[in-house]
Amino acid sequence: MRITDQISVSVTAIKQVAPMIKEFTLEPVDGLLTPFSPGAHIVVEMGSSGSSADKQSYRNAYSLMSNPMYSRQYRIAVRLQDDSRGGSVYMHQQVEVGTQLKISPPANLFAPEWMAKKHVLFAGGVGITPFLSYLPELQQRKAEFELHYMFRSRQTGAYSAELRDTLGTGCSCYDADLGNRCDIAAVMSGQPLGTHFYICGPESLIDAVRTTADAMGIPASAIHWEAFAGAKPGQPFVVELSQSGLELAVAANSSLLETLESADIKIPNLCRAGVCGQCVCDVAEGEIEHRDSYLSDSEKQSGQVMMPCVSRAAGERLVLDI
Amino acid sequence: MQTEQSNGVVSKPVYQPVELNPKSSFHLFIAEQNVTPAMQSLYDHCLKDKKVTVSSDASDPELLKSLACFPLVGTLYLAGTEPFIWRVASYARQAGLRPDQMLMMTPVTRERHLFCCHCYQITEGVTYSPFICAGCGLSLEVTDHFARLHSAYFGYQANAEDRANLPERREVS
Amino acid sequence: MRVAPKDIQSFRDDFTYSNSAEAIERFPFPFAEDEYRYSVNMEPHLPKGGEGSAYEKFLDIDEHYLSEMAEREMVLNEMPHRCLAMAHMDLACWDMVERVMVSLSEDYPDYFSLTREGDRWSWENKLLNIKDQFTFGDSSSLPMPPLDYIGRQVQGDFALLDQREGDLFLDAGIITCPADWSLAFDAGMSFKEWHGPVPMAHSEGIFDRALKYLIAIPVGKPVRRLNWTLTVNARMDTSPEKYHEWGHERTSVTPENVGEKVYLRVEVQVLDRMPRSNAMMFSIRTYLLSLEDLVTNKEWAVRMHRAMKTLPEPLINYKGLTRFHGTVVDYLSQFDPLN
Repeated sequence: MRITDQISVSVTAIKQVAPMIKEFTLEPVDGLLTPFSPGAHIVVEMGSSGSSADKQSYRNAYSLMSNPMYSRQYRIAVRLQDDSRGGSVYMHQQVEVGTQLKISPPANLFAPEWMAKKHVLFAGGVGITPFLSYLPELQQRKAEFELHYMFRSRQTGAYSAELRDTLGTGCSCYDADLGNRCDIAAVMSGQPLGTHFYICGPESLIDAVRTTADAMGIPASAIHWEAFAGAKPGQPFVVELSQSGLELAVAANSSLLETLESADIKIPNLCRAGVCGQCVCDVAEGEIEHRDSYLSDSEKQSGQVMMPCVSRAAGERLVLDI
Repeated sequence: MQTEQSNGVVSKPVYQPVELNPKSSFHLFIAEQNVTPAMQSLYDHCLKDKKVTVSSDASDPELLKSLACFPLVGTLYLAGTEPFIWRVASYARQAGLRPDQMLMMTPVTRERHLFCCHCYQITEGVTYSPFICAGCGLSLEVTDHFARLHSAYFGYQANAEDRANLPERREVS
Repeated sequence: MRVAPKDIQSFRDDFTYSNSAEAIERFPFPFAEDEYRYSVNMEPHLPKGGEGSAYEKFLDIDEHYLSEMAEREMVLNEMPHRCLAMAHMDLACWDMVERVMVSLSEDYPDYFSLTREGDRWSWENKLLNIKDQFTFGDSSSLPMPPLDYIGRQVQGDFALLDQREGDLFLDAGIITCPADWSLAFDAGMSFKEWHGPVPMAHSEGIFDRALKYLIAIPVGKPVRRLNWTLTVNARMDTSPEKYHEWGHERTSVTPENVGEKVYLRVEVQVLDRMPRSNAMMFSIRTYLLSLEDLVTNKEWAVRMHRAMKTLPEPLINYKGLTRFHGTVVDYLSQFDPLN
């Protein structure tokens, strides 16, 4: 594979791996899948096989959790989100063995720092997924690591038993439903020079680790995180496209990017979480509520660009220069 | 060849005034030969139980030893000549320190190490350009293109295009 | 392949290098506008220009293949350090072996073939009479280190950029025909450091934006851009290492010889994400065309004149054109009706 936009895959197995999490095995309709690097994700496009406009389509980013060297299949895990804007409900309720999906080639915004002397991984709930692709490579390189896995067994906690079995003391599990909590400060203090910390989980976990690191004087560049939360709902607003004059209503639980895509306007994108920078749009008019971590502060203040995958209008109306 | 630009070569290090990192619970000061007044002042402002050794004129094995027991939450302060600062920084990186854990004070002299792109030798004590390469003897134009791995600036033959025409000598800062 | 490799010509000493009419036609002429403007000008590395175009295949193999491979061997024999790979780049080197072997064997099946059975790979390069079997990923199973091995079989310089700390580091490469930069010196540098000497671009924030863009490039979506300079004589190895030997040629340009002596040097640069290592493969494929061959295309002649005439002073100096830029503009002006 050299130049690829989308890969057709079919779902060959579905497994309930936690009360709220399903695991999907994806195999290519033809050929082989490309190998990938630990921490990579794909964007899965759902429900777009029909061409009719009334058919809602979804695109969500999911970490690849299979062994990176094994290119016959990819595996992803999907948590049914409480405030789901559609994608996870679709994956849980519509997708069956045999369903065909379109996926993007892998991209990686969360690779391990191989120069690290030690790796400390913090996973929250379904945030365990990218670390599942780290583990084979960490083990193969004989790297020093420890995994701290926080979950609520009534909802998440996929693979916790297997991980404890295979990693032994390298894996600590904390089941909040059993009253077990991770003392983040205790984990972080006393780590040796050259330790890198990785966090994948809800924003509260990311904030907790970053705040602890800052208070302890751990260098900020040793902390790496991936937010698996995509766009969050907000106030509805109207977007006008200055070049075509088109006006679209952005619903409270749709992102601006999704609204543009549903009107057949193609915007390049990778992460759909305000990180990769691919979907940047020029703004001609209107106040912006920036929610991304890509644009610099001065770019945000300029009010001339925005990331439609996560950011929204601060008012009722926005004019994009597209 | 790579020529000097008025708007600056980005690889040339810029040294900001150094302040104590208030979040660190460990401070290591390393100076080449003499502790500079600026470093002494930082050291004096540091709480007694948090600061550690000023290793003056340390040999490389001693430096490596002091870095080996450096904690994750420490900050390293470096003073001396530019090649010294970057050599220690390179050891520190190998020991696992992050760039944001190392604070470099403005070098005590403007002497440079110069990398000759023709023979790959490094010439020390360079204060003006062109400068004779200690390896191959060519007159080298001294640029601002700096390689941290070599702790040296890039040099190329100053009169390669016209042997009879050597650029006028200028001091480098 | 529509442009069959010619016998070996030289890029040094007697400079027997020449372009056929077909090679002139497919030359990747870089100027899209009449006025020169610096830009990052990146586009997806998709085929364009149809059959025979320099952009038709992922890696372009042309009539100069044997000459360029012979030149590379001479450079590496004299200066083995022109190919280097830091220890942590091993996986990236194997990624490149795969990318190059798969591309060449699919795109030029008459010349290259690859058979893969699990990790057991068989590779044949009929142009260079190479036939090897090896274990993919096991560097001891190749006759030389993987980057050196594959780099000697494909046109263009290659750098492998390690991605970490939100930056790209120049940690491996095989660089035998650079436009005036030294791998030995720049090795290990971050993206901004190795672009340090490039004038004008930094203050405009071009590199900040370019870096953010490059870091997010996924597998399977390579991008390309063109770069250019002018080279006196058809010299491939315009490296700093050899500048003391070729620098004086910049004073040899006269109104009489400018057409045959000055070459437009174009680099088709491709950035391609490596799947296993997450490294970036940065290929720099160099094309040389003498001005007298260039002006056989009337449109190019006019464009070239206007682009050279409006070239900003800092770039003239940076690209090393100061001594003969005026002679080039004067020569080209005769082909521009507006002049």
